[in-house]
Formats: sequence, structure tokens, C-alpha cells
Amino acid sequence: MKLDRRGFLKFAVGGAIGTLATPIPWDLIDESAKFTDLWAPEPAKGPSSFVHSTCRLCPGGCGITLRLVEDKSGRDEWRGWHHKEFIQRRRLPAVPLRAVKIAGNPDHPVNQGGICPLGAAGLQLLYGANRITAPLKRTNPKGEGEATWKKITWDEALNIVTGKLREIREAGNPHTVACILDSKKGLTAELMERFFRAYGSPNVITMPSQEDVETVGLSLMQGTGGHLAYDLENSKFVLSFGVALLEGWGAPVHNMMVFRKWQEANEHTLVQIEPNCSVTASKADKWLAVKPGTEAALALGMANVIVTEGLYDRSSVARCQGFEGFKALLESEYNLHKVSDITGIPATIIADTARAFAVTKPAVAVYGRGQGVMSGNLAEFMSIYSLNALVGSIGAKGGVVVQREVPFSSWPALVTDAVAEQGLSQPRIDGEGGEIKHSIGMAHNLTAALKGGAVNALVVHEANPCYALPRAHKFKEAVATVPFVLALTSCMNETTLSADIILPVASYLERLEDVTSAARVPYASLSLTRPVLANVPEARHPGDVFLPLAKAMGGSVGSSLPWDNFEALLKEKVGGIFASRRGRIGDQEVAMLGSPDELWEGLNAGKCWYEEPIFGGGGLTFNSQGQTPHLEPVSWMKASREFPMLLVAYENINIANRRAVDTLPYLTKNIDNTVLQKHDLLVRVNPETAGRLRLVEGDAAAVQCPTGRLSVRVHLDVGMMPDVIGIPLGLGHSNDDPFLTGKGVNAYEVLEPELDPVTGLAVWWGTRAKLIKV
Amino acid sequence: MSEHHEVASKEKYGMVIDLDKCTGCGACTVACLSENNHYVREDESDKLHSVTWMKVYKVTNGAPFPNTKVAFIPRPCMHCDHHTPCVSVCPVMATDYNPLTGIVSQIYTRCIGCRYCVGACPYHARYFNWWDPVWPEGMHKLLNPDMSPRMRGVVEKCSFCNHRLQKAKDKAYVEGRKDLKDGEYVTACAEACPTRAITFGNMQDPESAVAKLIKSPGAFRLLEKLGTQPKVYYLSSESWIRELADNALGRKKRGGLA
Amino acid sequence: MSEEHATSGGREGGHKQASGGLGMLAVGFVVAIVVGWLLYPAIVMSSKPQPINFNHKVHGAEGAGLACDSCHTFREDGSFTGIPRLDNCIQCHASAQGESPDEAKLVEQYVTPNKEIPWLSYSYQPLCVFFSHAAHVKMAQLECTACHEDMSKSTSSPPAKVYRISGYSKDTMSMEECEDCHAKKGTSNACFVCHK
Repeated sequence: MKLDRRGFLKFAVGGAIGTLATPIPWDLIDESAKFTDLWAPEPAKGPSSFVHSTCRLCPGGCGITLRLVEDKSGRDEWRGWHHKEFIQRRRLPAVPLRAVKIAGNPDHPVNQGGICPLGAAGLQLLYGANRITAPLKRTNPKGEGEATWKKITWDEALNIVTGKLREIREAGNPHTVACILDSKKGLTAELMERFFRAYGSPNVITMPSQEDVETVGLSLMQGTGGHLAYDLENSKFVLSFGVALLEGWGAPVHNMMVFRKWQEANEHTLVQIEPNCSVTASKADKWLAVKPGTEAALALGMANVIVTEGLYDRSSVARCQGFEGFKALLESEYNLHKVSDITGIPATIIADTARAFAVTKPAVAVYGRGQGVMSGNLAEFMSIYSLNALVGSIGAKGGVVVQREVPFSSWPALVTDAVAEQGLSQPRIDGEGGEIKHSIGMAHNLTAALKGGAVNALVVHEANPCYALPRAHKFKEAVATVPFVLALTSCMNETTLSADIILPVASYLERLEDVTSAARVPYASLSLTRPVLANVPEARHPGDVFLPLAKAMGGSVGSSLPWDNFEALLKEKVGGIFASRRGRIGDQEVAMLGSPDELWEGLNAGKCWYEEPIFGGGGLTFNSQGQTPHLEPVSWMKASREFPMLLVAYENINIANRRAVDTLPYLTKNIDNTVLQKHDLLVRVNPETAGRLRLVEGDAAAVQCPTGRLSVRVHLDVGMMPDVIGIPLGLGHSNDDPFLTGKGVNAYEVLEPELDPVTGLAVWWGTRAKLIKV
Repeated sequence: MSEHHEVASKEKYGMVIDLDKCTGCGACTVACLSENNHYVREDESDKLHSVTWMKVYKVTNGAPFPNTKVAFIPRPCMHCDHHTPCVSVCPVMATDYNPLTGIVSQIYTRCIGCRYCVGACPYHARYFNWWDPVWPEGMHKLLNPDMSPRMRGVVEKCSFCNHRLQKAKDKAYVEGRKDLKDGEYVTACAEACPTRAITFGNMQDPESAVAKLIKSPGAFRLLEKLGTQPKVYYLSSESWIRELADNALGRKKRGGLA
Repeated sequence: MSEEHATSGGREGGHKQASGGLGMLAVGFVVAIVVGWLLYPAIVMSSKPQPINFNHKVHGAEGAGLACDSCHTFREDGSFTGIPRLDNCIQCHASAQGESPDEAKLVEQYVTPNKEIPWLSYSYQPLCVFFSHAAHVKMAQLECTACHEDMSKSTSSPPAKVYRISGYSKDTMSMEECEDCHAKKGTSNACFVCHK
């Protein structure tokens, strides 16, 4: 049978008809429709479970609940067998255990179930693409082009570090090793400080914080140490001198929980004293738009009203010292009209607010600025803090208290040898405890010290000074001159990029650690971060880096840190709480527990130990060691011809700006397009001011400061004080994170700290500036 | 499909947002992003293309310094009860109104991406997914298996975390119950809110927190005059916010988006 | 249709005697049927044997006396376990009980090294579908056999088959089947009842 054209056509037609009677066409249509389902990735399924832990992305210490998903079946591997590559992109690989959600823990006393945006995004830190997955050694010299790295083993890394530290110590220079920490709170920080003291270095330095000025102020006025906290929940009248109460100050979620209770009870008054219209100012019952830097004068003007009208708390003042001198100062220097002139607030409003503050009980005046990173001067703290003495709020319920210490068992005596003694007797490289009286928080002096060759080795632990110190870029240049830089972080940041050796530390979801007393919360508390899973198996607990390191160093260092691992140390420390019989865990009194193990188990189940404060009337010394409450003007408050405007930094709860945690990707969706547009940062300017400079919304401009120039765009904001430029902190990163790098400019670069003439404290929250249309 | 749903179902889910309590922190947005498997692009500053089912709008009263005030209006999908605008225009029935729960669905595998619904929605609650969903290396591990990620080329929107309702129901069924208790099913945003500004629940249950809050004197909804009967209610003591919410055109007003 | 073909075929057949009238048409038809019904499924689906040939019968009523929900259980949160995990097997098979080679394989390859068995699913549902076993089994009181084959008679596990294009398994229940039953029983067919 010969197949001709006609025959072929018949065959084809027959075939076509036949095909219609088979599943082929119908199936293929169906299949192609189903195929499009695969265009979205498919996460692996599995049973869920929930565990409690604690957040330590900020000093707030919220209780969190993690949702975990298990997938041990491995069954998905095959389904993509014939279009493997396509499926591999779509069908996500099974992971034995993964965390999919962080929510607030309703049983935790600090946050009571709420969570902040950063805390809710925490998994993006755990699973972030810029996690450091192994110890890294720099292969090219610092300061020469982009850093290149080589992965090394932990043994190699620790050998290098031990060798370096030994070499410096044997040369008799242990004091030339410096360590930068984010803060000295927590056992890890205490352990590291102990390590370096036993080693012989007094140079354990923390990143700047508003707590520095409070520490000096507290010791002068009340003769005590510790952390200041405010019983906002019970306060009926809160006079906030510029703290971002609802935008990330203290324990952010705790404050918001308190704010909710205020709203529901409707018997609390919040007065926000702040130059510009912030969220807190808008949410407050009253906003007093004070000229930047004159808050101290306003506080003293109010004090004057309270004193002259006899509205002060007699019994509280009786517990104070130096009241007569204070009264005289108020009368001579801070009469209402003068204060009104200085602060720009009408006299009647100052007087009315002062009266309401004095007669409403309990009332509290809160010192601060923004989230608590930017420092003011000592006189400003003393002025504002004095108000609390006038209304009887020192140590009182609804007032201001000093947080009680968590009753950890105490550290054994530090073992030192001759080399350590010699090193510890050397002056600190930042000048703290030196010539300047009451000096503290002198991290700003590090740049000069590093450049001057005072440091042979620098250890930076979970801090990012190359980004977040005032004049950060200068510090970064100085770091390049240090012979050996060791950084311990979980993610790449500007500082790790300047290091010689990087050690990957476990994130807060991968390690066991104490989170003590949430910032500014009146009660003492302890809850643990727990090693829920290990996404980066190579990452270690910093305590489990320094304890073995101490063993390897031997001598005084080894004897000072005899614990096998951090867990052993923590467990021993927690034993002290049991022994003290103080406080409660969950709904149980510690005194009723049978053994320390019960407490330990409770903490490891995510429960929180806490202890209510002991209230009682306290007093203070208005005038101590020659320090008085007064307005100590900062040089940049004065307008100059060259720089007619004032640049003021502000903080945004969705832009992380201090810890070794950066703004996580989810948060970038929350950053307004009036703050960031593509790569451009927008500064906030009053429309009137902008109009004078012929600037309209979105215009490109330059902010010229005495210390440098920033390229920005302009956002017109009626809530800004005329002639003030608002710039957000936390942008302008260069940390290789594609979600952050190159976005906006780093305001820290132009913020030049001014030294408090009396105390040497760094004051930095603004600078002179000129806005130029470009 | 979207006639007035007169037949009273035992369940009708709604939300009340107290704007006096809302501080605009955006925890609700992040909780939603995390719960509902959103990806993040390197640049999210173009807000027309940035997908946020729960969007927090910042508004201002526009008064000159120092009488300026700002406030925040979180905006999920309104799950309109009456003539649901998106449902009535969808040519392929990829979105429907569920008369049993009052929740307006969006079925990504059915959507053809014509974006008619995006135009129809008066609340900008619908987003077109312009890009392939991509997660940085390793970050896919945080994806929630209860929620399907969306492919490029479809429209997406807030579902009132319907998957949480499905799970809550399953739990109730296994325990031999048919009905849910107040608080057993809440959206991720309501769960996260640090000031508890967001309350979520069954509006048909007179004992539920939402049902009580809806009856508060100042309760209002966005663009109420359109008659879409949103199931998201707002509370505010500020008259300028209430005026903005009704988009008081024609009246002299200064305030608006900040 | 066939008439038309017959006419045209006949006319052409008269014209030229090649291709034998309807012959080629029929050949084409038959080839298509054979390809479509026999060859096509083999091409469009891939097939893979289960890691262990599981015998439901010896476990069920006629053997060990287990009910379906002895292994296919609900979790406390209302979700359904589906394919059992190794833990279930270990309860009885910590060591071999009989002489079946599959049991030996189970003990040797999975129980002893404590490795999960990579079972293959016969009725995979895509991620956009929420199928609630609780609603069907606990609320509607449906028997397992209302949807699944009666496994009590089954003595072996056939290979799992999946479509190469979509990745769906051969026995994935289609949306029409769901909708039909819901319509019949008066259950809602609103999208969000089954989709997520």
C-alpha cells in the first residue's frame, strides 16, 4: 500500500478524530492549567509546634512564641523528578525543623502578647542571606579595596586569636587590647569584661547610650548606681521630655501596652515636649513644641512655677538636699518669661502644665531623647530629673525607680597576675576615669586613640561602631590602622567588613542567654533566649567562644573563667535567684519552689522570672559636687550665618539603628516614601522654610554641615519646626545587604559629638546645617 | 454573587480598629507579611507596587506648626458586605463572597490577572503581583505552609487570614464542636498589635468583643457613603480623622495623607 | 460527520485506487486511540515504586485488627497526620515480627537507623487547596472509603504515579469531584471553604 498525499491526509484526519476520543487533548489542557499552579513556590508541610523564648533585638526583652514546622518525611524529593530544575526552584526543599512565625507571648509580663515590627521580623535575621556561616579570615590588607575572605575552621580561628592575645600579653601590653560591646547588660557582656580584666585590659567600652548621662546623674543626685525605670503604668501624669515613648524608647512593646491601658482608663495625661511633631507628640494629650536643646530651661521654668506657687510635695522635698539653693537658682535664672523666651513656649502654657503636673498624683517627668541612643548633657538630666523630686515621684509608685538587680549568684573574685595588674593600672584609651570628672561613655574618643596607635588588637562583639558611632566613617578609617581586629556577629555589617577575623555567633534564636530587666520597666525580670534551632550550625555562643579561649590562655584568665560552657555559668548564676527566694516565675513564688532545678526548668520553658519594685519615698541632692541643674547650651543651638539651620536626628521604629541588628527586609515595606525613595533619603523640612529656599516636595538638596555634606531629597512636613531639618538615623548602610546597602545616607557621619564641659560626656543629637538646593 | 446578604449566617467576621490606640508602628503589617508568605523586593519604596495587604496609612490634620497632628489608619481588605465591588467585576470568579463567613476570597490559581478588581476596589486593598516571588538564599525556610505564596501575574489581597479560620475549625471539629469561641480565630495583625488596637471576631455573636465595639457611638467605616458595607470598623475620638475617612470632598479640608 | 467522510472517501476512491478508501482514515483513528489510551499515560506520567511494599490487609480487620485511625490519626490541633510516621511503625516493629522481606527492609533500613520512610503520596493536594479531614470525618461522619479505595483488601502498594507536567499525582481528587459532592450534600461551594 503506497502512501500518497491524499492517504496521508486521511491518516492525519483519522488520527485527529481518534485523538479526540482519547484523554490526550483534555488532559493536556488540564495539565497545562495545573502547571501554572507551580509558578508559586511551595513550602514544605508538616506538623506545627509552638515554643516560648525571649527577643533580644532591642533592650525591650519581650516574650515571644515561635511557631515551628517539622518536616522529616523527605517525600517531596521525587515529585519534581522529570523537570527537576524547574521544580527545585518551586518546590522548596524539606527542612527537618524550621521556624515560620514569631508572635508575642501573652504570658510574658513585659509585652503581654504584643510584638513590635522588628521582633515580628526576627526570622529574617535567623534566615538572612548575610548570615556569617563559618569563621572567616581576611586575605587582603585592611583598607585596601573590598575585603576578601577565606573560610577557616574554628580551631584555626581560635588559634590565631589565642596567639595574638598571648603575643600582646607576653610583650607586657595587655592594656592595648580593647573591646567594644553594645552594652554591659547581660552575662555574656559581663563574662567578656571579666575576660579582659583578667587578661589585663581596662578597655571594655560600650556604644554610646543615653544611660551614660543617667548613670552619672544618678550617682551624683542619689548616690546610687543601676538603671532608671519609670512606673508609667501607674502614673497619672507623664511629662515626657522628648522620649520616643511610642516609637521605640525603652521597652517599646511594654510602653505600647501601657499606652493601651491609658487609653482604656482615660484618666492619664501624657504631655510630650519635643521640637517636632512625632507620633508620640500626636498621640499625647498635649504637645509642647520646644526649641531644640532648651528642654532643661523648660523643666526649670516649670519647677519655678511649682516652687513659687508652693505646689511642691513638702515631704519629698524634706528628704532632699540643696532645695534652698535650687529655689534661689530658679528665682534668679528661670523666671517664667525668660523661660518662655528661651523655649518658645507661651508662659501661660508652661505655668498651666506645671500646675497640672504638680497637682496630679502620681506624676513623673521622663528624661531622654528619641529611642535613647542620643545623649544630652548632665545639666539637662539634672534639671528634668529634679522635677520628680518636687512632686514626690522619686522611688514612688507611678514615679521613677531604680531597677532592682536580678539576684544572680555573684561572680567569684577575679584572679589577676602581675601582668594583669600592670595592664589594669593603665589609663583607659577612651579617657574614661581620667582627668575629666564623672566621665563615662567616651566611645567617641576611640577614633583618636586608634589612630594614635594605642590599640594593638580590637575585639568588637555584636556592635557596629563603624556604622553607628558619631562620625562613624572616621572611626572606620581608624579601625583600618589597628593591627588586629576581631569581630563577633551573626550577620555581616560595616564593622565585620573591617575585621581581620570574623567569628560567627549564634543568633538569639539559636542560643541560650539571659535577658534581664527590660529597659525602663520598673520591675526586675529575667527570661531566656533559647536555642530553638540551629540554622547556622557553625555559629557559636559568644560565651562558648570566650570560655574555651580563657582555658587556652590559661593563667589568670583561665582561673577567672573556670566554667566549661556558658550554660553551666548561667545555671550557676540562676541558682542565686533560687537562693534569694525573691520574686516569682510565672504564677509561682520562687520561695515556694522545691529546688533550683524547678526554677531552671521554668526559665527553660520560656517563663519569666520577675520581681515587683519596692516603692518608698526617696529624695535627691539638687546640687551635688558642684553640679547643678541648669540650661547648658550646646554650641550648635546658636544660629550662624554660614549654617542658619539646625540638623536634628530622629529615629523610626521601623529603621533599626544601633545593635548588631540592621533593618530587616520586611521593615523596608514599612518605611514611608516620605523617608526613603529608591536610593534617596528625604529630610523633613517645614514648608515655610522650604519655600524660602525655593524647595518643593521631593527636590534634591544637600545638607551642608560643619563636618560634611549629605546628598538628600526634601520632604515638606508641616509638623517640623521652621529652620530645623529632621534626618532619620539608621539608613545609608554599606554592609553588603542588598535590602539596605546604598539606601540613603548615614546621619551619624555628620553628627559631631560636643563634650559636656564639666563631665566630658559626649552630647550628640544635632549639628548646625545649611540646606542647599542642588 | 454580591447582592445584599440578608440571610443571617451564624458567623460573619469583622474587625474593629481603634485609631486612638494605633501608634502606626507597623507590627500588624510585618505580622501579615510573615503570616502570608510575602516576599520583599530590594526596593520597596515605590508604594504603588509594594504589596502590603495590611497597609498603615499615615494621615495628618494638615494644621500648621505647632498644631500639627498625625494619625494612622491601618487598612486591610474591607471584606465589603454589600455589592462587593471586586466580586461583581471579576470575569472568572476568582474572587467570591462567602455567605457563611462574610469573607471575600481571592483564588490565585484561578485569577487571570486582568486587574479589573484592582480598579474596582475603592480602598486600594488589592495588589497586582508584578514579579516572580523570590526569597534570598535560605529565607524560604520561614514560609508558612498554611498559606499559598502567589505567582507572578495575579491579584492578591488580605484574606482575613482565612487559613486560620480553617485551622481553628478543624481543631473545634476534632474536639467535637461546631462553633468557635471568641478569640479562637484571630488574624495575624490582631494577634501582633502591641496596643491591641485591632480587635477581630464574629460580629454575629453578641458576646464577642467586636460585636460590642461596633456598637460604640463613634464607630465608622471608610467611605461609608459608597454603601459597600465594609466589615472593618474604626473608632476615633478625632473629628478630622472621621472626616478624612469619609473623603469629605467639596468641604474645605487641609488634612490628608502625610 | 462520518457520512461526509464516507462520501468524500468514496469519490476519491473512484478517482485513484491508492490508499484504499477509508483505510487510512481508520488506521489513523486506531493509531490515535492506541497512542492516546496506552502510550500517552506512560509518557505523561512517571511512576515510582513505594519504598516498602505495604500490606494493608495484614494490618487491618482481617489481620492485626487495626482500624484506619490507628495509624492515620488526627493531631490535637485538628490537623490530619495522613501518611504515618516511623514512630507509628516502631510501636509494633521495633524488631521483626514475621518473615516478610518488606518487614525486614523496614527494620533494617528505617527502624534501626531511625530514618523516616520516604512514602510517596497517592493523593497529593496542591498548596492552594485546604482539605479538611476533620470536617469530612469528624463533622460529616464520612467513612474513609467514601473517597479512598477500601484498603482493607489491599495486599500491596502499587507504584505512585505523577503527572510529569503538573506534578499532581494520578489520584489527586479534582475540584469537580469536590464540588459535585458538596452540591449534592448542600454544603457550601464558596471558594474559601477549600482554598487558601
